[in-house]
Amino acid sequence: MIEELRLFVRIALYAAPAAALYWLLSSEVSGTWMLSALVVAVAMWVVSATALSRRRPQPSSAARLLGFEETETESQRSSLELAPQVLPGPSAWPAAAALAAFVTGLGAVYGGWFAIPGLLLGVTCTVGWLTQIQRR
Amino acid sequence: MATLEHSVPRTAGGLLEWFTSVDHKKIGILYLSSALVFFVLSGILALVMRSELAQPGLQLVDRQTYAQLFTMHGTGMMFFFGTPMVIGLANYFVPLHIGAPDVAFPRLNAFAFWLTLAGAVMAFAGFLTATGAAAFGWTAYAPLSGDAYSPGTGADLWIIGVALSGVAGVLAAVNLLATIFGMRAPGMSMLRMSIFNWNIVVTSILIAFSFPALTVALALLWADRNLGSSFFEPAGGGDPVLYQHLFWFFGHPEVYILILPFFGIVTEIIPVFSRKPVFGYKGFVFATLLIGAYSFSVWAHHMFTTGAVDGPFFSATSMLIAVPTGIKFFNWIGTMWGGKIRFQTPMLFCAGFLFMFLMGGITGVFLASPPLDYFVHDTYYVVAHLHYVLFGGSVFAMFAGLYYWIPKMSGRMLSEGLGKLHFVLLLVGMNAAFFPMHQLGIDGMQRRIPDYPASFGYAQENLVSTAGAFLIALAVLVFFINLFVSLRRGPLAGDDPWGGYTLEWATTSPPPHHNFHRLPPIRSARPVFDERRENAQAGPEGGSP
Repeated sequence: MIEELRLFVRIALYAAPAAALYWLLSSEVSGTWMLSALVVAVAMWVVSATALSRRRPQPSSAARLLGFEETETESQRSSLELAPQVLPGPSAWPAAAALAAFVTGLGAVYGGWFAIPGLLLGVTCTVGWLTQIQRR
Repeated sequence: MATLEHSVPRTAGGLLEWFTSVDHKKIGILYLSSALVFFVLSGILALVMRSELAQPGLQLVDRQTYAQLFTMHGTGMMFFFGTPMVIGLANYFVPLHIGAPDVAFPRLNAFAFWLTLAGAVMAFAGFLTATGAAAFGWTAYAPLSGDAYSPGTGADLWIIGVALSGVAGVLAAVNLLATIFGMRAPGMSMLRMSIFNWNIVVTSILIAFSFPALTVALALLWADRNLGSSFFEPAGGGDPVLYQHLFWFFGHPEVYILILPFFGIVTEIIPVFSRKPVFGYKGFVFATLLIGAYSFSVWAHHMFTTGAVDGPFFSATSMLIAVPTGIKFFNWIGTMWGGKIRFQTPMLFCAGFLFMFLMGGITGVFLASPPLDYFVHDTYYVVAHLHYVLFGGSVFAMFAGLYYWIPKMSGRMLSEGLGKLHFVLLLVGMNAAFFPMHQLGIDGMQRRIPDYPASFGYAQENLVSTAGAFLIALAVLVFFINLFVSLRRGPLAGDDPWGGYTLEWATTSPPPHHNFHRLPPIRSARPVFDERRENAQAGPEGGSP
């Protein structure tokens, strides 16, 4: 089991009994819900991490769930060739999309009319952003 | 030797480059720059507050303006200085530490930065409105933050601005997690990562799981103010304590979001300047995970005086946090023990961090005890505790990190003389400003008030505290002079000016667009040290290529 997965499992192993203990001690609803939601959220990450781990060399047993040992992998070798990668070029869409969020946010304060240009800009940014990714 | 090949993208030139860049290093510098701007802005607000409090009577500002000042000081420092500083440093150094050419989602990374900035501008824009900025404290407790007690658009701008920056924080955290989990160089296993990276992992998890609670709280608050709902309005059947639950479920992890990465920075610097490996690597990792997990179960120690929370549970879990924190302290001392310590500026700030954060940590244990918390709740004792943790801890470690890493980022060394002057002024100023607040709190001086009667005997401590605040301002000015002068005329840093251990020191200063021309073999958490040692053992003719 990869270290990334264990990371989230450890948090869940703490949060689940903490939620149960909290409910038993306090019977307080909102805090119990939040701790339970944390367990659910962590569980969702565990599922994601499991999916990720399936792409890697499979390893170990549940007994190592809390351990910190890692398997010896090819990473120990000194010389490994890495495939060339293409880095993304500059893009104005992220800054423009943030501006769209800003203007839309003003709509939440000053009224819906402000939100309209923000939403239009947001749609333009989404299209522009996706098109740029597709083109590259 | 592993070799990396990357195609370098065409970049826009000049100022436009900063608006359009998706390079993690440039985004990191943008985060750091905007964080420092809000550090200065929020600091100026603090100076006005301290000037007002220097003597009894109202001299400079009225009560409403004072409320705006402390609200925006806290907001600026927590949301627009602290968190962006953390994300900025992570942006710049996480890919370098793991041998990656960039973050996992570069465009999303740029979007997260600009969204953070948009949120900050929106929240501070409240000062330009007729009713002024938000004035309900950075915690925005309901029903004080409801439209009955906080009318005006400044409050709404604050809510939307903070919500935007919260969303940006989650995007940045997911990006950092994806980068660390998916883009580590061959050989860089999780347990060979730098401790800084481990702290960023846990910090990102805290952001990803805690910021949504803030977003929910702010959305419900906005609905209460603008749509007539009653989530937090008792008159309509709502529950103001629910707001506090939601806010502090975010708010306490936020404290760790603001301190864990700085633990990581200190853990990077101390071994290098002690010329030893870090003592207890796995202990550090385990302690970081424990602090992260515990931080989700301590939120209501901020709410003891509501009488609506389980005191023993939150007291016990809060005190438990002292255990992993203590492990870290022992490990830092263990790392220094027997080392050949060089007290250059980064190490001086680390030493300052150790003393100041210890003070804040110990007063935190006192505050975890409900009877003591009832006694000093909402007094200057809490203000002192918070500032020893977040100023004495985070800010000292931040300066340590900046002095340590700016040579890598800029290619030029900062002045040691000015750096040491900065340290001394900051150390004296910090203690003068915040130590007297312990006594003020024990004497019963409430926070968030602009005035106090002369007969209460608070004047002397307040005067010392104000003098300390101005000394801090002077120290920060020295830092900026150092930065301004050294970036232009400072000596060239070279690739590895400190004899560092981690991968950022294996590349040029500043690093190229794709970060590494070549990557040393990674067989431990100190790949650069390993390579240096191998080269030294091989001698001048037998070194590795």
